[in-house]
Amino acid sequence: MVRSAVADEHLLQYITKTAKRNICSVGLILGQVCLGKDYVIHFAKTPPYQSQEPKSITDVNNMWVADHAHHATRMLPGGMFVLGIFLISPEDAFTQYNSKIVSILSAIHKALIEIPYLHGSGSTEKLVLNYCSKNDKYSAKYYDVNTSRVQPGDIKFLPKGTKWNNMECSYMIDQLYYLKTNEADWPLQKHIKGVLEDIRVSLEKSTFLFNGECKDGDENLESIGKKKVSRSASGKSHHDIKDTNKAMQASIFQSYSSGTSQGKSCHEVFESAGQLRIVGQVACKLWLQPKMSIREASEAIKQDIMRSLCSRLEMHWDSLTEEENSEDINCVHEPPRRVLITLPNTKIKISDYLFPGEGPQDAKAALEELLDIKVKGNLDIQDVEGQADISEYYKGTLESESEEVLPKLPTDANKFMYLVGLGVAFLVLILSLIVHFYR
Amino acid sequence: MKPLIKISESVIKRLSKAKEPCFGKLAGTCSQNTFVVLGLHVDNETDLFNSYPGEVYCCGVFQINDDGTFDEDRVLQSVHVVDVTDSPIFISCKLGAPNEIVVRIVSNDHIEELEYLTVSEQDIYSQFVHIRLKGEIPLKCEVSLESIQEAFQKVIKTVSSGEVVFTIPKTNVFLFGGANEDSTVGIDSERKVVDMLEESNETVEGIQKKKKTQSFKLDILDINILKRVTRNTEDSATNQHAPLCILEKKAAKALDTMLCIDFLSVIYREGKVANLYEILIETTVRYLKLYESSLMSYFVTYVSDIAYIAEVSRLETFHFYPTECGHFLTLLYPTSETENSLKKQRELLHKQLLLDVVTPMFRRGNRYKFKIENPNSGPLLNPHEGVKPTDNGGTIALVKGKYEYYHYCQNKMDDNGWGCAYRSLQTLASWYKLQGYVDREVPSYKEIQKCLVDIGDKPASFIDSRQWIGSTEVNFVLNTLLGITCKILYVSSGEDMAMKGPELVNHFLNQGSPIMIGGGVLAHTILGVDYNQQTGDIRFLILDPHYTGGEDLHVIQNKGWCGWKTVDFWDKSAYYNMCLPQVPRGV
Repeated sequence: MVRSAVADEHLLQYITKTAKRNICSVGLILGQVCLGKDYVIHFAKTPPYQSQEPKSITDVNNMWVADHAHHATRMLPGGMFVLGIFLISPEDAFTQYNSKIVSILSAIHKALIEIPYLHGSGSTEKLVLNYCSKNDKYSAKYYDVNTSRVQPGDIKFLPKGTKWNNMECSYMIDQLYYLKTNEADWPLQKHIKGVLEDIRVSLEKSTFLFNGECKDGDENLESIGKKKVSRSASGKSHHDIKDTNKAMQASIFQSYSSGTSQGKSCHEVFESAGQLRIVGQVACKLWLQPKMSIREASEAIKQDIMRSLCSRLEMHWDSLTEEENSEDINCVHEPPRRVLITLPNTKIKISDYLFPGEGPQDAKAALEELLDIKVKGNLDIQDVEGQADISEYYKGTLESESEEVLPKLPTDANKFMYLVGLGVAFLVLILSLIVHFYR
Repeated sequence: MKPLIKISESVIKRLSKAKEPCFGKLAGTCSQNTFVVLGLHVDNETDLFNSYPGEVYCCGVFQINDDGTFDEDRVLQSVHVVDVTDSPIFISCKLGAPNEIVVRIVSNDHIEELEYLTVSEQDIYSQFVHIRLKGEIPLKCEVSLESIQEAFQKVIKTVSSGEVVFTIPKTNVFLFGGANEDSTVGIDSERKVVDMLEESNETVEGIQKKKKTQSFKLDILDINILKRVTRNTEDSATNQHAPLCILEKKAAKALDTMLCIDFLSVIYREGKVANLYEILIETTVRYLKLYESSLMSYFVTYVSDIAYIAEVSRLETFHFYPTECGHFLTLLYPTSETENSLKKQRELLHKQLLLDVVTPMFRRGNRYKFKIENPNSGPLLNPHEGVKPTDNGGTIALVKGKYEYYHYCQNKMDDNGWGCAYRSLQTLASWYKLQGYVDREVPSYKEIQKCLVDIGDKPASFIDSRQWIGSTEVNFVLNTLLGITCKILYVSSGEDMAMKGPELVNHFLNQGSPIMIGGGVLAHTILGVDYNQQTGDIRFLILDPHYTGGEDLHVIQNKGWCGWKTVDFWDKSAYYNMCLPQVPRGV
């Protein structure tokens, strides 16, 4: 059987529109794999490299596309991946540029597997869609990134929108770490890597319930809410009535126990140089194919949590200066928070991450650059996680501390104040020098 | 309506054996006007209640004195600690021969005498299920008394806040807390606790056959603790925000540990599943309090050396079920403490529980063996329990405590025809291990052979050979590897075994260890005697190491691999040597 993909009709219009504007384009195919079938949710043209649109497929910068895939993956909910690429070219790309296609796909694959917590790699069989502008025809093939084997593929654009199940949960984190003296001068990034690993491990050992039901891993999402002839004939059946618009609630239960440990597991007493506390929620909202198995759905939620944490932390490090990263002071780090944006013409929401002080405008820019979505007027964003009142945490640390002053980490919003303060200080210094020397 | 008071046999036994005046607390359960008094302990600095299983509470007080009188005010004052009932029990015990026990009930500041029932362990536990609760909760704090206390308070708060969920491993059964009306998944909340036991047994094993031959056993239901890490997005949460990282540089000594919860609870079989959640939370909290107080008690005196703190704060949980107590008691020992260094503490505990101080009951080796720790492949425990009784009508004296049945062809070793004395020796060694006298595993064939070479009894070629050993060698090995001395008894013919009745009765009454006997080419283990002084007839309870089959209790008991034998069992033409292992006195 030929491997196939489906997409909504309006997505084809995007391709044809793009083809009219450019002779040649490369972009990402975003979506989900379920039971060996690809469900496309979006096409996103890779932005021009150094403001130059490629004139031919051979001009395409592989690393640039890979970087695009990396950034686009950050915006996807768990269970969604960069499924492959599309190419718009005047001639048939499969015959002309086969090796180029392989090299682009492998660049993407390499870039994504390098960041395991991003869970970006997905299936190794990548969809490639070619739109030939000379004859307005499209065709698809599948490329295996490991073996470079090419297989025929099929893509259908359907008028009726694909059906998705909506799943949500809010993952609560509150973890405390004591830093050993030899670890004290590690950059924050290194400490947090350890935290991420802990979260990954504990998610691995977790139990998932969907709408309060415990299901076998092989059953699919459709089985939720359809109760078997239950032994309990109690009258609590109100949630048997399925409300398709309502999101399914996932609950995660964590066990720390490894089952066989004899109580001797981890136990340490050590000199600590300080403590690191991670606290807050990760809001998860996923769109999953109804035929997806419970096991895969649980996997997608894990991916979503890890991907979201990993993405915002990456963005946070990138925004820090060298000193800030290894600062030897008490401080509260506030990585960007997740906001949700509805993908046009669908119900599906994708994520963006906003730093304190950023707003819909910034999300709009990201959307345009990374997903090639132009929004007229104001962008509607859903602030699902909420911004912390940092002063509360400073107060907390101050109470247990001495009278030490805790400088607030400059963020974009208060950088201005910070500079003004510096300026004033400098002015005072100059003045006092003048006074000192010319008295 | 007058309450029904049931008192455990072991409580009555301990009270009647008491020799010194004292005052103490009664532990038990109560529901629907029925009290079951399970245990008792003398008042001293250590409050034992957190060591009792969950749902066992202080239900009254007792007093032992010379004249049986009591100070009414003192009794009324002391029952104030009882908060599980409005009408606590007061037992007074007058020292004498025998001790006189009177049970009273205190209600509305009025003390009234009452009838009571003495009930056996079996009767009590046929109404209860033991739940064994397991889970892990991380504990991180600074090394200071305040910080540790604070951390425990925080953990207890988290546990009680509804974030915790219980589940029966390998099933889909979950118990939730809170006002949530769907408080259970996988089982209806109106069903009974005993149904949960069936639910778990269905999935765990299907091979529970011939239950009849088994003597009384405790029903234990495993339940795991999980923590809810998600919040329902429909709940409007207060103060929620995206993750933050708060970095605070401050030098301190830190304790980073995992509290491995492992605790028991005694639950009415007929109780509703719906009520279980609260009970399990309380059980968890009780364990945490036990952990905290144990940690504190080892902590207080030394707080400077970091390596020392690390050692002494690494606690291990032990469940004990001394037959003389008739209930579980859970204790936490630091791994760094040796049996010797804990001796004082054990002595105090024995006295507090009105137990003798000659037999160890709370050494690590005495811990209760749960079925999970003794999987099907291991040797059977006490296969003589449930064998066809003797009809000799004499004094029956049996091995005391627990031992493991070692016999031919275990652990894939073909020792058929030469290994019987080794196996008998292993059975003897297991008795010392399980009674807590020695802190070593049962010696392997290699260890036994090497030991005999090391002490110069055998040449080096003996190791890995298939040569027999006899009672002399058994004696040497027990002495060298376990530090146990044996008394040797000799008979020149199997017939003369009939004369050894009084000596054997004496051994089992005073020592209680299994005896190894070797004669001709055969070795056996003697587990007990039935000696009739009037007729002079004698029966021997024999455990035969020549059995080559699997660990099937039914076969072992019915085919006579373990059972009562007459004196004809012994070969008239052979002479016999018996090794009577002596038992150290002390706890």
